Amino acid sequence: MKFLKWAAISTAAITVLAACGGGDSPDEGSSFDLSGAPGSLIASPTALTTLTPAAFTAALTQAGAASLLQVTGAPKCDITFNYFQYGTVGGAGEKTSASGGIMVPGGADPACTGPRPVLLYAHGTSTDKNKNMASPQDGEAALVAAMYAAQGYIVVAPNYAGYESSPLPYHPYLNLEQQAQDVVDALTAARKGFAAINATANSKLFVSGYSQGGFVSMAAQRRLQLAGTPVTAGAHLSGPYNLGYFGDIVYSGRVNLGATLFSPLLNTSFQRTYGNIYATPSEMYEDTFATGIETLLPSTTPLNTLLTTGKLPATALFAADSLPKPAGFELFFGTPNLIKTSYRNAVLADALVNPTAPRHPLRVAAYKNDLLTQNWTPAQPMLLCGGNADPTVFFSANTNTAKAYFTGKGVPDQAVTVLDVDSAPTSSTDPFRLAKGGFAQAKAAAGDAAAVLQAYHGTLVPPFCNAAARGYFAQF
Amino acid sequence: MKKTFIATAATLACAGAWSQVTLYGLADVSITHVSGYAQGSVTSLSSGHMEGSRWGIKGEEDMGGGYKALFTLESRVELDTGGLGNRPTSGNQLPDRLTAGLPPAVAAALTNVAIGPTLGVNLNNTAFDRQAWVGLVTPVGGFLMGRQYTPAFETFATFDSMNTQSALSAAQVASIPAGLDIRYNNTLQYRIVQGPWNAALMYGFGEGNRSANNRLLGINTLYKGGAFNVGVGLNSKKNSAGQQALKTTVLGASTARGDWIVSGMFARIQEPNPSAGPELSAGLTLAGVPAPLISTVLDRLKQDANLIHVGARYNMGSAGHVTVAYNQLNDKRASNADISSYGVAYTYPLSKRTNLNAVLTRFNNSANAQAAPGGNGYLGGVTATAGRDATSLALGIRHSF
Repeated sequence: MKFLKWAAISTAAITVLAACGGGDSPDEGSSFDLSGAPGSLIASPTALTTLTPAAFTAALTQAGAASLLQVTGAPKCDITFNYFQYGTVGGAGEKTSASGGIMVPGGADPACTGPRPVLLYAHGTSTDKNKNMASPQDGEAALVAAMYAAQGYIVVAPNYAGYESSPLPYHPYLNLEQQAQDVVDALTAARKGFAAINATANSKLFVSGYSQGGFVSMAAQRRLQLAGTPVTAGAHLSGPYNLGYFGDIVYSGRVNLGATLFSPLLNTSFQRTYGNIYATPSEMYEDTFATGIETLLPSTTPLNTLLTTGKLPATALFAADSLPKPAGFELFFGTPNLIKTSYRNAVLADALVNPTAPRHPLRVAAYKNDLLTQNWTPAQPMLLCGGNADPTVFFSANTNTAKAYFTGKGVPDQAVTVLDVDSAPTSSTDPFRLAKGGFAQAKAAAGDAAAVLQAYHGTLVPPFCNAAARGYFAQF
Repeated sequence: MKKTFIATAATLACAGAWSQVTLYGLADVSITHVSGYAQGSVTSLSSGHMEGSRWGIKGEEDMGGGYKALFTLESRVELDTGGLGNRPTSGNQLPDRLTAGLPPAVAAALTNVAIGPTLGVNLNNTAFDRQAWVGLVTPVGGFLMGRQYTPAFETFATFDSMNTQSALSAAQVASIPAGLDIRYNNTLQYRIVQGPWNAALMYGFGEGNRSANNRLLGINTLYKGGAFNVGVGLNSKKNSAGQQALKTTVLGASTARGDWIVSGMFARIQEPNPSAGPELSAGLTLAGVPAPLISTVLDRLKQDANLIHVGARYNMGSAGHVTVAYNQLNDKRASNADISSYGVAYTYPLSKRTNLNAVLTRFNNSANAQAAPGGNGYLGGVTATAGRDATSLALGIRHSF
């Protein structure tokens, strides 16, 4: 068997040649994790654009948002907007993936160099399927970039399962465990890609989010605490933390602004997870809207088109003759309406008979995903910020109740800070006096009461609660 | 039994010289069954599994004194369709590692427009895609000009136990992106033969506006002693922007002992700038893809890999020959898309010109690799997802004329 001996020698020679032929870095190029595992970084993050402070300022000015910089301060850092995809799960534990943005500060300013703190930011409700926090064209992404990345924070901002690249055919909206895992998976994946995009993190981790994102960020703070990798601090802004009770309020007739969007997002999320919210959509929804409602949101069709083409009612959650119909909430009763009176009545009956031990599947689901029914106490400090007249996420029912809940659990007062930006500064040393003053100015400039109401949750409160959050984080 | 035409007119015109033109060709069809595709296993009638089906005309004119003129015009022909080119079974689908993690619109553009539709063989239906050249043989060597096989390919084909035939060929694990330029346009080749030694030097002129663009340099030398053979080959080319593009270095050796031939080959594949990078970049820019994202895409098309092949052929005389081979592509980039393939091929001669072939090949794709087995004349494409393995079984007939 001489040839075998020869073959062995030949192979050895080849190996030597191979060794000599090297010289290139063994880790050149993008790495991949195509396993689909939760927390996997599918590919090295890719930069979409880098904006210098001047370019970012110019972009905000062009978008008519230059006044934002009066709240955030002038940008100090270059910001590189990176896009990434990560493995996570859907509302029923099914494997899926999603995308997000990583904003990385750079430049010569001392605030932008060296190891930087990380902010995990959870976005608010979006009906836009293509919502992309990696894009500076997204208004919320621009706000977060101006507030944090331009001031030296590395921002990880997931788009959530069901949005953008995610193949999940629905969004697990306000699903406490899924949403917490989703954003924590995003953070885990993003950290794996930090080295590839020259992001150097220090040991500080902050978590924040607005509206839906306020709920998600609190859920993430809880999850990270339970996982033994606690955040440095959290700032949860205008979130529906008290989901069960908040839902009861809405079904009682004190409907929140935007309910006709939130309701199908939430119902579909719960239906996908629990399967018992209704037997068929027409059990819950009026026939006008029932067909296709489960795949309606998020949508690539603009929201206005959905409303004008009759896919959703603008405000009429309940029928004109459905009772109770509290004074001041007439806007939310009309024809055509979204939710059938028979379904509302079943929810109301359960709320009456079983106020705290729900039996109706929708109430069971809402209370199950309520952040104040989880029997947990935050071990790290948090700021709860909002505006007391918020018509979309009621402040008292969510923020004040959360504070009371945690206080009742023995959490010291200084560990949970409540801020109502729609209030007067308590004194000249009020640490939030600038946010409060700024909000008052913006509110005054917004116009009459109706205009203020329309702008309150989506436009007026966000910059000031975010500014307060950044100030709050600065102390750690 | 080649069909030979004596060109009497030419003979008469050039007293003392003689010339002839030969019509030749090869018809190769197999029934192939390949597993692992997105659509599942695919059974099809495939042209060119062992060797690309073809017909050609070649001629030579002996001018005496060691001078000879030669030409070859060789056309591809797909016996399954009668066409001139082919597409992979997986269509536009790209390896996941080219598109994974990219924004959906960009991934879709690469798959459906920029790269996906370019996968295939002779998609622009060139008439003489396989070879088209004219040459002059002199006492100091031959000079050939046209579209020709490259020097590194010649070395590769010599020391691949399968001689690039079938799914079992070493070339099949380096096909998307291509690890070796098989042929090249606009080439001038100098060849010399000295006893068992031969050598080739090739220069490919740029087709573009600057001679440095698309330029290819190729060189090889082979020693064919029969009992012991050894050779090296190198191709190195620039893309249309003049950047160093695909460079392939091939080292091979084989030995014959009795009824056995054992071969080993090593190929180093380097592509520091994508060969079609400038064109792709221009297209993506036009489509509004931001520059950093284009860099990401181009980076994913770079190559840095080692290919190892070992194989053995056992000749059984009138009962044909059987070959076993093992191929391994070691992707040295972070993508780490390693591929190995192995299998067995059996050729049974019905006559000198007609044989039957059976080839069984297994492709093992590592987590980020997804090569699908193809054939000599066509690309296998990609399996369903990264890491999905594939098995190819081919039963066919080959007739040469």
